[in-house]
Amino acid sequence: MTPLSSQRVRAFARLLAPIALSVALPGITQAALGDTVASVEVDRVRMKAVLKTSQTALYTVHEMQTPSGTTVREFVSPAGVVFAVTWQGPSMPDLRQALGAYFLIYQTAPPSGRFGHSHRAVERPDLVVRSSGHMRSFFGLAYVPQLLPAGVAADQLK
Amino acid sequence: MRNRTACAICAVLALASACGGGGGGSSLGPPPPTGQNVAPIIVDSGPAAAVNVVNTAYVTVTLCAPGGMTCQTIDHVSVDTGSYGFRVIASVLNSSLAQALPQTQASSGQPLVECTKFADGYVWGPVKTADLKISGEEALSVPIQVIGDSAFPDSTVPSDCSSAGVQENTVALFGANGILGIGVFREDCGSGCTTVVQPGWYYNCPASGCAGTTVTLAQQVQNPVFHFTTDNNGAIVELQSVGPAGAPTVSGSLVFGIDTQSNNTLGSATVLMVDANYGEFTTLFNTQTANQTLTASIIDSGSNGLFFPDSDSTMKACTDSTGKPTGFYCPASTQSLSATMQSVTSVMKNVSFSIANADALLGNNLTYFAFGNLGGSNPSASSFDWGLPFFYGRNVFVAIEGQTTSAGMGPFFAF
Repeated sequence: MTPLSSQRVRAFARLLAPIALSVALPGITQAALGDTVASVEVDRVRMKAVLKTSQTALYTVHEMQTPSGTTVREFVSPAGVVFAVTWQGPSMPDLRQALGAYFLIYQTAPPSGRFGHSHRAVERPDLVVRSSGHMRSFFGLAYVPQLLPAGVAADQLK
Repeated sequence: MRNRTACAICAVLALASACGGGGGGSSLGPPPPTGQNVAPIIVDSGPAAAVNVVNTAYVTVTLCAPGGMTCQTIDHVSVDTGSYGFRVIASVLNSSLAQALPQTQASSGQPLVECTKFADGYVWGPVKTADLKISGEEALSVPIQVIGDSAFPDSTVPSDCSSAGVQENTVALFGANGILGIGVFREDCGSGCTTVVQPGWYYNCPASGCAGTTVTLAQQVQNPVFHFTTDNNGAIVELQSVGPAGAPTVSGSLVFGIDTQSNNTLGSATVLMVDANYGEFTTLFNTQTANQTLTASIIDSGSNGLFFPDSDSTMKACTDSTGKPTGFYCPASTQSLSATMQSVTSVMKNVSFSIANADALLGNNLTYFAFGNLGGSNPSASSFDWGLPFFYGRNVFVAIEGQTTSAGMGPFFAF
């Protein structure tokens, strides 16, 4: 596992927390965008992961670190639905898990611009995914606009 | 900075060169360096099959089976300071070379196959051993990746590889015939893959199916520069400058070695040490609304724009015909900005740059493929991605980890 640099730890410390799902376990329903908060607990138990949870007035954040050292955060609304996922770290997480039913939309959406390999953005009324980074360092944000709790600005989800 | 609107009108009239000084072409700088350690770079429309390419720097390499008896010259290989190792699209290879490249074995004795993830998708293919020749330099018997090899078709792609989204195994989708990863690290994954099976990296692939595997550092796809006999401590990407309207093409040089020859002296360049795990440094970028400390910044020739967080309302996002943001920036007028790069040893360097309206740049200059003022949003709130526009008009040094230079040991960038 790549240790986090002190620089990066400081960067993480500024951020709220996340969640995560990292190891692909065939047949297991993972917590994912659009799913309920109950799926987070399924993951935590099956992956024997230490789940860090933090709360704001508007949502709950579940965070887990994958074996690669990548941090994945899932944002759960007061209604108990995962409305956003972010990731940051040396490996891109399994987006099929993280995006759940929305993965196919992401995979098949035409690119929005003439980007190189360092960025991909999908901006739709029903799904927003922004992925960026480079080898050994990836970042991303995915959310479902209709599921955003009132008062939450997606750009502020870290 | 000249007026963007006037420039757009000029471009529509196909008279961009009449639209103020510098428009329409790359400027003539000093004569390009010469020597056995110099390979020409061209920024152009890319290989014939590629579409939507912009701001991509290409070189030509010679790929050989070990021993050098079976070789092929491969053009339009993209130069990428944000990745590590050489990768080639299988369809580019002629049959004799394709058959002559030996498959690398995993420790199990089965074929070693790699999933390489980029932010926009992934490529899949076996690790093979090759001699790589570029300019007068040679990296002999190094592991490379052959992307889209028919021996490992789509049906063999593991789920935690394809989960990266879009597969880019073709020249059309990849935008290049191959990629030359000459960033600050020696191997693509590094120590992170030697003891832990990382999801979506290396796989052991017997006929029964692929499963993730650990790999030694030596088995991983290698930054070829590190394996050169000489001039092996890094490289310099040197590109001509570009006028505000962009240019159809830009030429330059990829120079190997740092302070190993008379043509690669570091001189008074500012050295920015980067962190040993990510190859990143900090960018201090103050907008009208926030003072941003972007700790995960990189100088990446493989990024085709300057990408930074859009906390500033003046940096309006471009939108498509349905009103959705495209990811690029479309300020009402060209914005002249500056930021300060800060190394991990707190060396500071101020950098000025401009962001023009991407819709005007790209839409009105369809035969232009180099733009020095193209920018966009970065979904990471902690990253400034200094892509190819940063390289225009500069000599950017990339020093490899553990390699000695006159300015100390890599990893660092300098310019």
